[in-house]
Amino acid sequence: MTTLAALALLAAAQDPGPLQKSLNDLEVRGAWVYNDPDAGFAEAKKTGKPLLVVFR
Amino acid sequence: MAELLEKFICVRIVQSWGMDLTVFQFDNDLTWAAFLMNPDKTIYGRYGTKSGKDAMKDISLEGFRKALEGALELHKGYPGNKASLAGKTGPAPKWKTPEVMPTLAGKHKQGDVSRWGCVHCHMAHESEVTSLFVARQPVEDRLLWKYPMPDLLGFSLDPKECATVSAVAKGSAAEKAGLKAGDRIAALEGQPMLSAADVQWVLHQAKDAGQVKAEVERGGQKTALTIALAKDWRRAGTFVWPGHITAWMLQLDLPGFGAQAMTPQEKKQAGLAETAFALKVQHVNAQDKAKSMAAGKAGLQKNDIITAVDGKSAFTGESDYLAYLYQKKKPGEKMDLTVLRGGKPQTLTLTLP
Repeated sequence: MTTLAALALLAAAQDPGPLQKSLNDLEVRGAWVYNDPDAGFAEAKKTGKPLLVVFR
Repeated sequence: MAELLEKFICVRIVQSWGMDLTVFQFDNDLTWAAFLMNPDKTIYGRYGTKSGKDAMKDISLEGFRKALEGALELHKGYPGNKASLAGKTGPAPKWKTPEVMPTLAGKHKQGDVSRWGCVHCHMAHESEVTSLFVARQPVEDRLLWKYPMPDLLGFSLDPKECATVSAVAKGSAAEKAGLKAGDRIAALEGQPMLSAADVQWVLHQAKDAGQVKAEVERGGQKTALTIALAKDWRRAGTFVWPGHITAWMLQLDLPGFGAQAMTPQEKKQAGLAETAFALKVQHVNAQDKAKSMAAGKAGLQKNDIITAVDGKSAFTGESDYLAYLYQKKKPGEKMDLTVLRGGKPQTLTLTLP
């Protein structure tokens, strides 16, 4: 697997919705927020965690 | 990597409609791009590259992991380090989101993530350039020769490390500043560096002439260096290369054709000097009315060879020629193309949209 492919696979959800399915983001662990940075910032504030925001 | 990612709130953006450009400023000609951020939108670092097929020379999983770890360290030190991070957010852009730019407005629908319907990342950049042109506003060099790679100043970075110098070119600005292979660039202009993308960010913000201050770690010691930026240093680079979508779109959007620089061999075969300015026309807009039809109306044809624009043939290359279009011409102006067709020269006059 190439690094780029691995990075793309990292951007996936365990329970994929229609968007994740269309992106073929089906296999990788982790709860990702899709296309909603505001929701990501809100969750980060709540948890105190930093954010990783990926554009791809 | 999975354990590391669990320490972050992870967000994936697959289209640029509504993208807040006051926060998310990055090299839109991306292969893959990421921001590492505080919940208050302070940026710890950027990661990614624009080098397309050669992407792996700039990024790697090892390097990405180290950038993530570096971001976690910055997060631990926050807000004590907030002042050093302020420069990682750029000045407010003229348009806050891509879809409000004049040349993009009304062309896409919110929520459309289909290939042809969504606002692609690269569109945010090319639309800024074309919108400035339409608005008769200046298009600065930094918007065309954007996010310079460090090799323009004579150094390259190890993709498996955090902003660590892998090589320095002899006689370059980097060598003259005292930079050496193995140096870890801890900070540029006071900003902590996590990646090549962070270095690109600082260079993108740098002036057209001046200097960049660096703090490097070498043998356990910190050293301050100053890298001089010669006048018009960006112009030594190019923003046009095969497969570079923005440069291609900038051609289609204004003159209405796409052309590529000819190789010395091709020029020789066409009876031109090997050093001559010569672009071979690859595509002329005929049906896509969303793009400029100027060249098609003027009679330009595929395989025409452009040897001068407005009588000027002293362009150093495609970037220089495109900069002339966007920086010197105005909407509605005439533009003369001197072309070779079947070996015979002729002049075509097109009217820019």
